Amino acid sequence: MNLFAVRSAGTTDRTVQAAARLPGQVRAQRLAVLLILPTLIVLVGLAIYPTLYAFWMSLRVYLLYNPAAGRFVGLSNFAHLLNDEFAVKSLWLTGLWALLVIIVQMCFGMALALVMDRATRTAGLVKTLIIVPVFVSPIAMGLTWRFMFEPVSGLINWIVRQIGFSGSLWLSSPSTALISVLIADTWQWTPFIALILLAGIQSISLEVAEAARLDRVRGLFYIRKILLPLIWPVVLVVVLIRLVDSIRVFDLFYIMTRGGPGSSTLVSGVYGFTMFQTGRLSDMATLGIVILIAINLLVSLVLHLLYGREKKGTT
Amino acid sequence: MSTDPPESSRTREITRRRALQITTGASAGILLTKLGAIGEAIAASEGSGTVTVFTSAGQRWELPERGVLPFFEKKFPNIKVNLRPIPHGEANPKIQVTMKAKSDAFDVVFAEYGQWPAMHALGALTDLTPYLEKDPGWRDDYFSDVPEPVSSLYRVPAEAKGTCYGLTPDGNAEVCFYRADIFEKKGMKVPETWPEVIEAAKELHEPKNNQYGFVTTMRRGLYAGWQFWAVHASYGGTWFDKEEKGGWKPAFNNDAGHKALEVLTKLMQYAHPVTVNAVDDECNAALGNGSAVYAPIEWGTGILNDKSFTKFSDVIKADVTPKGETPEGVHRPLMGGLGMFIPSYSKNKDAAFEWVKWCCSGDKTDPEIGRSWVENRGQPARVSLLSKYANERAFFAGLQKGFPKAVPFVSLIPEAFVISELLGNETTEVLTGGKSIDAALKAMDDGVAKVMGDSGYYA
Repeated sequence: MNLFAVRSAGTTDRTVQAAARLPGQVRAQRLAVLLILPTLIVLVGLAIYPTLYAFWMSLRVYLLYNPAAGRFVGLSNFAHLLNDEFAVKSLWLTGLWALLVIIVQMCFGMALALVMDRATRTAGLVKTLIIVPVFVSPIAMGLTWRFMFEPVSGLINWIVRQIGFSGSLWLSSPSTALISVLIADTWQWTPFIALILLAGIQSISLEVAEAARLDRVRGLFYIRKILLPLIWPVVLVVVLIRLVDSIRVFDLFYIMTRGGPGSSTLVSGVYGFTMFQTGRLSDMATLGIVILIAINLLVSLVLHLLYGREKKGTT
Repeated sequence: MSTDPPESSRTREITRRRALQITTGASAGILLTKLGAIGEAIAASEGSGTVTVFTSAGQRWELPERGVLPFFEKKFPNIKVNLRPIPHGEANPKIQVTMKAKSDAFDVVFAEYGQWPAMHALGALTDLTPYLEKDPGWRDDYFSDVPEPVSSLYRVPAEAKGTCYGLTPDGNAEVCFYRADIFEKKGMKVPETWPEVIEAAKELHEPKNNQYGFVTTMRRGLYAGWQFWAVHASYGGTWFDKEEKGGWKPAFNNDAGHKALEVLTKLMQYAHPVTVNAVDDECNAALGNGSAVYAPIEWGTGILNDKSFTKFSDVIKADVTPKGETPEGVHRPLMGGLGMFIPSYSKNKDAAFEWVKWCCSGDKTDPEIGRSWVENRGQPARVSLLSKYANERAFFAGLQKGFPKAVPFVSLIPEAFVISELLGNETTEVLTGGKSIDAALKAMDDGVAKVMGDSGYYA
């Protein structure tokens, strides 16, 4: 059968199928389209159109303070971005930040989850209390931590000195600023991670836990060989959430350091915002597109790990 | 047999009638709307309606405006003023975006004069000359009282003959803040040149006693950029080789630039820890709580002479900023200050001008305005007010001394802020050990050349 014949046959089949549809089915389909339409309009208006417009801006010189200078420059903004040492540093720092966040907060989160799993008597109260930091506004939290980290009159150095150590410069030194922000972020987000991991841990069947206990499988060996493999999908979901959040981070750094001292905490969200503040809209859009691509690649990788493992498990 | 016309015919007849009714109604509506608009226009020309003001929040902008508002409302009961405070750090981009969108949301914008060139490029400024012509007495009083280098900043071009696009109730310049009691105790004079400043900072630096010899606003970006420019200017530096066609080549990678970064690097040895991340708030807090005792280049503020803010209010004095020790060296405090413009998109310009005039009146319209402006943390641009309240606000003397020598805190071009940001980023890299002075100066020149090239200055 030639291609034309195949196409014709396919078209005829579809026509016959369409004619055979009941009026009720057509109405249901139209209703479905109508119901989806508002979401679609919002999605196009607030996500797809801005993304496409940002991409268009990244191909132009677009200066808020001098609109007359606007012109199409193709991909040269991307080439300039790679030559912009602060942009490259900000991307590198964002990667480092994401890595630190994942490692530190997952370790603390897991430890906290295991403790809560054992502490059956007070678990309810603890769960309620530790979730509080998640609800604190990042702006209020950032300001509070900024004042606590103040090297001369801040609370943290006062405590450190009370227990006999010399204080640190915290946010005022390029070598400790990133760690200081990490402490604040960890304080806020570890409970969230712990609660999700706890849900995963508590979903493990009692038989498995009992079998492990009878086989005297305990401690790190139990965590590595039994617990982690069983809650692996939960772990990956948490990693995914925190990964995307940490790459997009802006508020905490903006409030606590604004990228300083020097460029020691200049994550790409803050650098992009300073571009906006000074009217370099095309540069900001270019950086935004690069971050978007980076996030998508990383998310794809994590999803591949997640579903790849699940698929492997089912075959 | 029915005499009624057929259904279709009746429908047609009613439709025609209804069409006539709708047309008549719509015409009457349009007429009324037009009459309303004419009424509004008449009302507006007489100074009434609502004036929405974009203003920086708190400090010396929103607070004095709130202070003079009750008198204004008494004098102009038909004008309602809505102050819309925005955090100062966010003001510039918000103004840019709002004016680019040709929004009529604001009738008055209280903005830094550094924004005037960009606003002019956007066509957002209203020529105030016709409004000033209506009250020549007031106009002459304003221009004779506000120093010409200050009032010219709100003209385009920024010279006495430029078109007046704004008036200012607010004057500011960088000053040298110092603790007079400690200087006296140590038998020190206020340093004149940068090497003397470094020596003084060293002498004053006693971190074990929680006393630091130097503090300034050195946060990454704009603030650090302005401080670099302040020292650069005091060594005779400029932003460009010449500000005209064929010029606009950046002029930072030279002796003045090198000296400026060298001075700042040396001073950082004695810096209060907040310095590297400080803007005005941190800097003022350090001076206010007594842990910093010397700020040779710092933005003027009345808060340090406010008893409710610091117990050292009587001993914190102000003088003019230092100069370079080289033959080209000269006192060059950076001049700050905000002025008011009326967006060309405003629909209530007459009433808006009444508000602008009120805020900029000093004692001319009513002495209560000047008093209230100062009492509510305002920093007048009028010399008469600076002199009158010099005893209550010790730093007013430093401001008055600085004005004649001051240079704009940015070059008056639309690219001003992006260049300041760039200078600041490179400066803080040097001060935190991330880059050498030579590398930073080269990066400044390269970066500024790219900005100017993108804007078409070399075409």
